[in-house]
Amino acid sequence: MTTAHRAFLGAIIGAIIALFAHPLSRPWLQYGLWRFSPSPTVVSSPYLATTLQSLPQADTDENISLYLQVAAEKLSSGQELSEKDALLLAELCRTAAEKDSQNAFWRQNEAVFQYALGNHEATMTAWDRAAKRLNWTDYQTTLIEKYLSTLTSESGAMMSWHSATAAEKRSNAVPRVIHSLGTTLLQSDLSIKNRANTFANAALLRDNAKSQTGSWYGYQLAENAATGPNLLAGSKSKKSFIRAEFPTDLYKAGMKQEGDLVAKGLRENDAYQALVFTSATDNNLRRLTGESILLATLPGALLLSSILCAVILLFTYLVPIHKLGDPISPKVPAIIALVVSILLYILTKQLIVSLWTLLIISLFAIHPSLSLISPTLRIPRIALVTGSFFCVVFASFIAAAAIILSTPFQSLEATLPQGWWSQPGRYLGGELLLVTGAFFLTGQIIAYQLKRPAGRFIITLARHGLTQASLACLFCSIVLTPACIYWDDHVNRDLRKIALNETAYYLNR
Amino acid sequence: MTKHEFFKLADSVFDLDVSQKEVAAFELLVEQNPEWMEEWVDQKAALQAMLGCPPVESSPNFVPSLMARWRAQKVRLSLQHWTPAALAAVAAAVGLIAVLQVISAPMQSATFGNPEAEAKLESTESIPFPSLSEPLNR
Repeated sequence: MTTAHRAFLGAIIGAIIALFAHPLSRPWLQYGLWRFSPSPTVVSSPYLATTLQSLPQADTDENISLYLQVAAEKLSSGQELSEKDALLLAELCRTAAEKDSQNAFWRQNEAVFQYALGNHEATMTAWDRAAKRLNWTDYQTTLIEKYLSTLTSESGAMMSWHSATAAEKRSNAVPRVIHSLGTTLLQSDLSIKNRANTFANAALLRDNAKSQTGSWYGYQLAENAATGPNLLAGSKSKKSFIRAEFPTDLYKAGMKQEGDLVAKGLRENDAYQALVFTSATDNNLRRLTGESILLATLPGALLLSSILCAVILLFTYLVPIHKLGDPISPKVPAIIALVVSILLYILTKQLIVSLWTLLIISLFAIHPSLSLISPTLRIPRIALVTGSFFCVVFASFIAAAAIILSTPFQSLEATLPQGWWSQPGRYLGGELLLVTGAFFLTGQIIAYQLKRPAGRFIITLARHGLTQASLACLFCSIVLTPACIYWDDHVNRDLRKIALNETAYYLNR
Repeated sequence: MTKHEFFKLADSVFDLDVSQKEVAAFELLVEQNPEWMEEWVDQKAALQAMLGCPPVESSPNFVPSLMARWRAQKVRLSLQHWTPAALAAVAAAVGLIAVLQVISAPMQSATFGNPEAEAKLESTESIPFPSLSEPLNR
């Protein structure tokens, strides 16, 4: 070992100790290295309607909001509320609306539950009152901040994937139910007054839902109020004309204030369509989510890959290499190949996998006439490079598997598009088998050319390749950890804004 | 063990193809059957003579090179040998911690609270902001 080699080894050991000792970098090594199951906070947070296990006491606005969100989730999934539950929820809304008088959220929800109870007059009264409120708050952002704080405590550091889960877990059931009620009310009553009230409620929802989907329900309801819900299938020009004429209709009916509000609201709707409801915004969130997973798991996954390569390397040193030079009967590899491939076929039902295994193992039956010219084993450089290449690819697949099984990936799997990562066992297992087989095949071919025993040659090649792969992964893990921390902070700035107020993020960026 | 098996084992031992345990077993066999060893040496010499190979003799530098190896082994185990590794470890650790501190600085700044030099309004009255109709250079 040269001085440079010793210095490199020392630097790597020193750096890895520093990374584990520093409180900022330590959390970045856990995901992909030893934390693999979904996060308990993400699965059962008491602050989110989509994850809470039991309802809290309805003693604060946040908790009452949780009751309403859970009920809306139930309604959105096609279930019905019992009369007792609907009555309780309507009462809760009324009580909250008395304290939080300018919040239209309570009145709109009261209208929803009064409608569920069949009280049409009470529904219309609550709907009218909601239209006259100045703001709309569902308290989800306050709850999401608490959720993020819990997740930060769980991880030991603030990470961008926390914000990605928060953005994904925000409930949009209440805006959906309000949209549904508003459209139903428009279908039963197309009077100018109801259209104006619905438009006002929709504008409040659109501006304050704080998520793209929630705002879309508000936007769509406003469009329905402007054009009438039954004109969706009508001609585009007729729809545009009625939409543009809506403020004028209000002015003609003597509702000047409402007319101004609608004219402004329609212009804002156009702005929302141009800035918020575009395919680019969907892709942006997906890209940021992917980046957040990668940044949180890459250092740990590479470290795990390095450790696994080192463990396999240790096993190669335990193999009695001096015994692998004796020629064996061709029947032995042939029988082993047959048994292993049949077992693999039974377990996986994959013909290609079993045939590939059959080929790789049975090739050991071909034994070259051993060279007496060069008793010392000298491996050509090209063979070493090829062996190292396969080992590095093998290590990369292990790192990919670690990322897929890690907590951030498992917690955000539902938001990601379908791909090879959806079935990691099948694809990564296949790739690992392919790479291992290709390594064995290459080793056997080179050993045959050099007239050396294949088993001994492959072990020697594996020792070299695994050393290279293990050191490369360890080096990359060390170098990438500070880089990941730095970039994660940048990604988190965007994702946190999206988690807390997605609509405002797209309007202002 | 038969004589034939002994010859095979001797071949393996001198080809350095056996474990320490097998070498020990071989040495025991040589002690027990010195005539087998002599026969094997004779056979090898005859074979080499038949093939026209020169007799195997130790090189003149055998002992000095053995001593050099022994000295290298001693150095390898010394503290001085690993000094570059230790220095590099310390340098890498310090460098990495410094990088982490620099990276974490902007993230920590949000928790500092209100600095003493913060500008505050003494009066709670509303400020007359200039409007567009009013020129800014009053």
